[in-house]
Amino acid sequence: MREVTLAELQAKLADPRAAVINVLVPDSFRSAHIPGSVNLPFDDIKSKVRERFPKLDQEIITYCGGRT
Amino acid sequence: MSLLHEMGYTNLAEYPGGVREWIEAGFPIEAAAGSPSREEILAGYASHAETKPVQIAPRVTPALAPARPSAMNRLLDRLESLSFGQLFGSWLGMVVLFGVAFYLLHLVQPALLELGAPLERGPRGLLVALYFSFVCATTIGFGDVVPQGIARGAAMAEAVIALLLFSCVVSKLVSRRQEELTEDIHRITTEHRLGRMQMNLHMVLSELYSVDGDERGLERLEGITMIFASELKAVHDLLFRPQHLPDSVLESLLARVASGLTELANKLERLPEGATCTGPFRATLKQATATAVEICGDCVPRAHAPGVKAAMDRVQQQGMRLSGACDALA
Repeated sequence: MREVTLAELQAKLADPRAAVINVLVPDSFRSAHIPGSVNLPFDDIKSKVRERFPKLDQEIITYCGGRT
Repeated sequence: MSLLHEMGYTNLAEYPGGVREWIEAGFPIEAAAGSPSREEILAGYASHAETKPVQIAPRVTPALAPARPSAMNRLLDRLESLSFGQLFGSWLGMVVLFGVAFYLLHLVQPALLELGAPLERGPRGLLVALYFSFVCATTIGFGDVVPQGIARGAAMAEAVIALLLFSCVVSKLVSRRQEELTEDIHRITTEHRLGRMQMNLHMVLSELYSVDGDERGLERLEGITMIFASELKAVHDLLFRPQHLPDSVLESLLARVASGLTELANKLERLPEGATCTGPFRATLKQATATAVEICGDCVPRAHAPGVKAAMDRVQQQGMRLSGACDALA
């Protein structure tokens, strides 16, 4: 799996073609998230991602709380 | 991430640093009013690292952790993966093995009685021991040869194991027939459904061509759209489900869907001024457009012939046009 660094993430956030997805639960998303990212909780990804991003070649970058 | 990969997404990446690294680097975060401060959030993630549960820490749902299969389940899985021949062979092998074991046991101490007298030694004794093992494994129990002493326990064990194995053999036979039947039913249902879809789409198209823009026409349009939306959904399902259909069938279905969308958009655009659409009609239209825009050559999970892909792209294009016409109504 490809990993992106902080600098790359900033570039992706500015790129309208790339989608940055926060996979945390809505509560965590509300308390803090990276600006420009959308919330698709892990449990709902399967049912909702198709609707949000119909194209299979859509660039998607996922993130969660971070390294612990 | 692997979930997205399994769903067919190809251009995936992960930002492992997450919210924590982002905050630590001093970048701004977005948060709802009344949320904890940056320090509290960081502390939350840090204490999560010490495995103390914190409310804002990422949650792992127990359902996602695969349950460890028990020994019994593993054994059953293993049995299920064997073929009919293998299962029957192992049953026979077990019968012979127990027969020989009974005979060897009998050589050490009298273990089998034939009609009340200890079993004789030699080839005949071995044959009788095999016969007893077979009678025991099939749970017939004629009673002409009986075990005694430790052989009783062995006979019980053999009966139980043989029953289990034999039930696997029988279920294998039954399930084979059942699978054939299920496949047959599935094929017939699909053919029936395809026929119905083609017929309905044909009817929708001819209705659409003949409908007028007057008030009665609007009512008819509403009825047609309802049938059309459900058939569109069915086509969508066909494309996204793992059933494989010949490309020629798909192409003809998609062509009709695209023509239907075009004609529907035409009719909506030519509605007389002041024509009002009912709420359900608008909802149906919305549902139909949402379904149509999800269909395109690159969106579906399987690769198709260029003609089919082009037909799918046309459906998406017409879906977007219909969406525009629909918005103009509201």
